[in-house]
Amino acid sequence: MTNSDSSLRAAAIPRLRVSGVSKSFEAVHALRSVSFDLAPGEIHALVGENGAGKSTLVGMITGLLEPDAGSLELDGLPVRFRNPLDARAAGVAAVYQDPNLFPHLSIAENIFTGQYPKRSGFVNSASMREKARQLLKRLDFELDVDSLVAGLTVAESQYVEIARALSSDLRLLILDEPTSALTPGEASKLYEVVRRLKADGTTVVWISHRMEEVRILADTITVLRDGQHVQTSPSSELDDATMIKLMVGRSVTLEAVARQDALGPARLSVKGLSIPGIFDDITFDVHEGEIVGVAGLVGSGRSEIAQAVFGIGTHPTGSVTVDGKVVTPRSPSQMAALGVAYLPEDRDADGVISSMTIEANVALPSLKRLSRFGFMRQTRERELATTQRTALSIKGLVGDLVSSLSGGNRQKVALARWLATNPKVLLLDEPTHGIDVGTKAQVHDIMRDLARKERLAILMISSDLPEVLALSDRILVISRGRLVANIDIADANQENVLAAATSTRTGAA
Amino acid sequence: MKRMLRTYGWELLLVVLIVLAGIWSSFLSPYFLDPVNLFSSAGFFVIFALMAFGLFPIILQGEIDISLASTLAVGSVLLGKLSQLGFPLAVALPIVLIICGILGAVNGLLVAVVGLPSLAVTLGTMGAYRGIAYLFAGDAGVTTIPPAYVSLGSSWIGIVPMTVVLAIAVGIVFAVLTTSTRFGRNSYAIGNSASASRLAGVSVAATRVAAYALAGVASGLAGYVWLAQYQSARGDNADGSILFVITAVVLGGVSIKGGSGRALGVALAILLLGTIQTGMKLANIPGTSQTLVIGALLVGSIGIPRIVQIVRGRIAAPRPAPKIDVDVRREEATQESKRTA
Repeated sequence: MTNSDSSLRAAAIPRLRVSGVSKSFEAVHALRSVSFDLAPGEIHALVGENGAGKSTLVGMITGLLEPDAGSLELDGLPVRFRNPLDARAAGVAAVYQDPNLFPHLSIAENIFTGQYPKRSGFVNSASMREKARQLLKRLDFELDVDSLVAGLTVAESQYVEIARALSSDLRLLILDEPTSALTPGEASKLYEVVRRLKADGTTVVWISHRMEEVRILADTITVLRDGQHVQTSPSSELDDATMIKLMVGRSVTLEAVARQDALGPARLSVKGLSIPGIFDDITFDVHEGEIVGVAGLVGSGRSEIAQAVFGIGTHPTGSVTVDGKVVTPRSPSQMAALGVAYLPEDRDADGVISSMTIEANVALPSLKRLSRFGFMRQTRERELATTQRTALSIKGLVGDLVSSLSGGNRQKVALARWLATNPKVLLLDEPTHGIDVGTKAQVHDIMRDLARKERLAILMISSDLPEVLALSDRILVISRGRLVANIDIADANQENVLAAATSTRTGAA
Repeated sequence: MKRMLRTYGWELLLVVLIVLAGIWSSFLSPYFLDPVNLFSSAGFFVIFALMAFGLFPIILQGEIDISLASTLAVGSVLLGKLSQLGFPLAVALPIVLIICGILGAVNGLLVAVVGLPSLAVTLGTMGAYRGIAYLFAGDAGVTTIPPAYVSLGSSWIGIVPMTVVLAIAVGIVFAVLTTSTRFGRNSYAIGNSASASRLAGVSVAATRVAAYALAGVASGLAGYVWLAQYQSARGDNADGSILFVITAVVLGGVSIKGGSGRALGVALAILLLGTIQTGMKLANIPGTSQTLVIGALLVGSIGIPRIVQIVRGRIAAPRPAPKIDVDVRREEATQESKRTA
């Protein structure tokens, strides 16, 4: 971007001007006097750790929350939306990471919810479908407008949400972590769409934890930290290291740390594991002291493999050996008793019970050990929770509800409750998904310590390629239910892992 | 103090209501507060109390059992039959409790292992178990019960009926069970999230079956109390009492969705309902109207906390998570379609 460009922009009326916006929830200042401008027709990345205030800011722009102080100006006119519908009518819409659609209605019906084209009081379904078709075509999405939303992938649901936003005259589109559940292919398609919207003059606010994504997309980057505005600059003037430093207030690196000690015997061996239609003939070992990364696209069967090993869902054929003993995984309680632990991908729904306290969550998998003749030993229960809280530096008291914690701390609780059982094998499914940069680094350190000092065998499923490369000793790549590559870390790089993940052929490398 | 108020607020509210209901009843009849009358009235509610304590862990786990009154009838009739066959009570009672436990476990297996919805399952077994009770009892029912079987109904410790002592003991057992055992911890966890509990290595199915079996045993015990108190047993014993039982548990502060509540609350709710019902009897309010009041209390005890929650939500700051849930959307949709229409 040249200087004349920026001066030109400064002179123009901003698409949205945020001035002095503040918001508190009880004693917590979620936002403190935040001010910045969004130019018309730009892609504006909003970055910051979890809890930096991004969601609160979006909530206020879209009328979901009311600011305590400050004002918003849309194209030079002061606005205050009472609800998201109000905002949408003014051309301001947001799409969240979990699509909010009606699963049992068709795509066309979802797109026009609340604004169905009518003819003499009745929904004009022919015109609705035609308009839906046009919208999807404009976005270059190949979707059948008559199919039900229930059968769509996460990516496709997001397309529908975007089409929905487009159905009114769109001035500002906010995408909140849109690619967190998308495959690389789907993500790059979304980038194209966003660029097209930008070309049409729409301002796009892009919220993401992925640095490389912000880098390739954004014209301008705004950094928030602890509810305060840190900086807004053209993306060309902000390098990755600086951006991360601004976000966390210190520098964080994602560098591999070479393993010093030799690997021990295989703790987990999986041979010829198959579930028809899900995954086929999966064979691998995880050794004591080893971190094995599992890369692959979402939907490739990665999670299902870990779940099958943990005894969830359909029982697979093939064999699972834990510590030299052949087992048939039937239930999580059976596998947990054998020293296998699984950290599910959906932390809030499955990984923790957020309506219960930290203590109750940490103790849950260890109840057998914490009780005598079925009676709980409550002092030991508390001790266990306190020990784990300190060990993983969980913010919050053991009596606090997990729902009061940030995403990163919830993940620590989910991890803590398994570590309290002294497991031998850890199966981690997206352990740092949606966690802020600072906590992510902490989780990485914890994982390294667990493998190298505590000598655990760790299988880590992750969509975050830099993370897989930085942490793993070996990388398994799953594509369409098959193990297509088993790469030693010394030979692995982003290119060959990605190439294997997107390959359609079978056979191991 | 503030913490205590927050934790035990519901229980304190119940105590206040019990006092108010007691004052009201004593206005209606000067005999209400007479200790002997008070305790013999309490004896009437022991049967409900036993079933309510049994139901408590099931609701805590987020399920329901409406077949308990039918299980009670199987218990009372079976015990009556066994008594006439000459079995000593010490043999007959364990047999009956085990059979009632099995009836409960059948519910539990259908719900937890087969995965059927508990309301439908126990609606079915409510009819089926009632049928079994009728089959055993015949039209005439079971009368002329040996004295050993009914002495419980006429024993007193001082001025306290033995049955009331039994109910208190069972209440304590369930309080300990839910607060201090692995079963209790698992029950709260399952009630909060069954899927997350399963992933935490909790044996969800076993815990559920145990809760249903326990409720069956508690209902069987209630059947014994029935037989001892009324000295007869029929197929229609305790028919219709499940409304009172569920109301007691929910009014006791046990969330109908599961995951929270205490045995103390259930005990207080029984006291409150007992006081109200006794008062209504003293005021000569007909039984049908009493049912109306109990039913209204059930809906109220589910509805009031929700209304408080909504009002609190309106007053306090909105939730920080900007998620639009489906209901709101639907509302918005209808609003907008009205606007455009």
